[in-house]
Amino acid sequence: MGPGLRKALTLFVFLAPPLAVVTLFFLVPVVLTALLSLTDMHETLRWNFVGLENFRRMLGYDPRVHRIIVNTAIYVPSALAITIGLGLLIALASTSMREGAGILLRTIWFLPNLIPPVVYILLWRWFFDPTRYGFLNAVLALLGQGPRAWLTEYALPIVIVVNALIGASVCMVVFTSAIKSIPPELIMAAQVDGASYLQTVRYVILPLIRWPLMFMTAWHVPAHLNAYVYTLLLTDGGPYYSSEVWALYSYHKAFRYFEYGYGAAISTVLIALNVAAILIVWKVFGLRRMMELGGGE
Amino acid sequence: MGRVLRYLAYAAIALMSLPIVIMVAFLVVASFSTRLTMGLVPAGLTLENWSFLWAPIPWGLGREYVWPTLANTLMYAGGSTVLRVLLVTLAGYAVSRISFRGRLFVLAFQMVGRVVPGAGLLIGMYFTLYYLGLLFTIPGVVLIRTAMGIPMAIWIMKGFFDGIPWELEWAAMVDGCSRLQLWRRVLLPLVRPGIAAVAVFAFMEAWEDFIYVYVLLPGETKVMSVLIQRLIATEVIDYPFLAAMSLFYTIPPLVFYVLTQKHLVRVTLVGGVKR
Repeated sequence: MGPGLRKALTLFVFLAPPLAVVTLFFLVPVVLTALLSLTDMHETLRWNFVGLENFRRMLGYDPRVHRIIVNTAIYVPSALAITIGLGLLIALASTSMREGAGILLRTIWFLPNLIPPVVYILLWRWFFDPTRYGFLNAVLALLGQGPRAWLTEYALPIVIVVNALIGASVCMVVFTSAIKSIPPELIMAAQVDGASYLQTVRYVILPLIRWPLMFMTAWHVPAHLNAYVYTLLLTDGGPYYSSEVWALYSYHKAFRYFEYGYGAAISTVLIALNVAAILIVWKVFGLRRMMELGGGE
Repeated sequence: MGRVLRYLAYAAIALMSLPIVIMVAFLVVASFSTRLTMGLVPAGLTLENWSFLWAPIPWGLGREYVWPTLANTLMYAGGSTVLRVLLVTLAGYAVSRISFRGRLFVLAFQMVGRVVPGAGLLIGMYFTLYYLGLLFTIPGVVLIRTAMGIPMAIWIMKGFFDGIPWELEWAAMVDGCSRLQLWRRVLLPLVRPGIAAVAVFAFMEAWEDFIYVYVLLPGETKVMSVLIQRLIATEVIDYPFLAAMSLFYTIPPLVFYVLTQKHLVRVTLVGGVKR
């Protein structure tokens, strides 16, 4: 057996099982989603190719699409702003206060990430419960006011905040470790020169953590575009599609109305947007830096 | 002026943190209360909410024990952990040690795997499992979840394999070890911390999982997350009872967090966003 063949065989033994699983259960679903988007697949599970009919329906005569695009266009930038802004604020605050207080603050803000999604949503359901058992309404009752249906009145803003807090929790961890890795001499030098805290942040800290900052921003664009599980659990896109976003619409079409073909077409658009997002990040960061940052090293 | 601004900022942050603190306090307090008044004040203390641990809970028209659900959850989380660790220790070694042309591709793939919407592929996954005869089975969801999780985990494992000196391998090879023997006998014991990290991550991900088990498992094969979701989706939510069950369900992640707090920060950093 030649060395080349032997090496190939070794590679095969180590890489074949993981590659087989990834191919079969990740790549095949991508291809199937794309193929299904060209069919009118529904409950009967029969393959019937209809060309680009689903996309024509999406762009032409699906009355809900307009509203959902508007919702998504509000949702993604708002959630992104809160994710990055709040993550940065908590990271800056927790590194500028006493060590003990900083750890307490970070522990609190890590909780949204630690608690399982269904429990996280249960807690928000209680917080906004329309009866007087809900927290906000209990507070209102103490002030002599009647209960309000928060989740109906402010569905989209609430969904944005609830999703964004998860992102902020992740950003907080990443930004904190980036800030902590700044050599303390640099910050002290700025202070000796008479810089205020805000000036130190502006001219020393922010430039030094710009890569993680940019990466997390780029990262959360597709992340928020794809996120729908919390929304599904909290408002189910309602009332009357007022908090329905693109990714959730695909889920609803496929698994609530069993229009798998149309749902797959909506997903395909999502996948295309994701690929575009990756390519942009790739161009901006370069592969090596992207993997370094993505690997969190 | 600077100091006033700083205290104002701290006050604002404290105010923003308040909902999280209140909600977590609610989870603990409500689980031991008969009911809550004025938001967070228990009307009376009881252990009745925890009775799901020893008595059947109302379910549909009858009553059901929670234990089969717990067993399903453990089977799903345990299966995901074992499979992911096995595949990733193989691939992590190959990616770390063997130079070949597709290596960069494998690494780049892990990036793509993290960004492409897992949940958006649910339709494709549903049909893949359907044609393989694995739809509505626990092994089916385990395989789907593993395929999504391994690109990331390979990256973590590679880091641990990178840390082992080459000399050790040469010595073993001179002694006549094959690559596979070398991997099993020499390297695996050395990357135990990496295996632990990957295992904890895989277990937690599956334990907390909702959307995949919700769509890819049938109604009879309930797991904890789906059970809690179904109990939330009723006309009148029984908060104290649900708080107790949710707290019980949250204990494993909490315990793992406390035990591995130092390491977890790094792992979370690496793990990025869970969706």
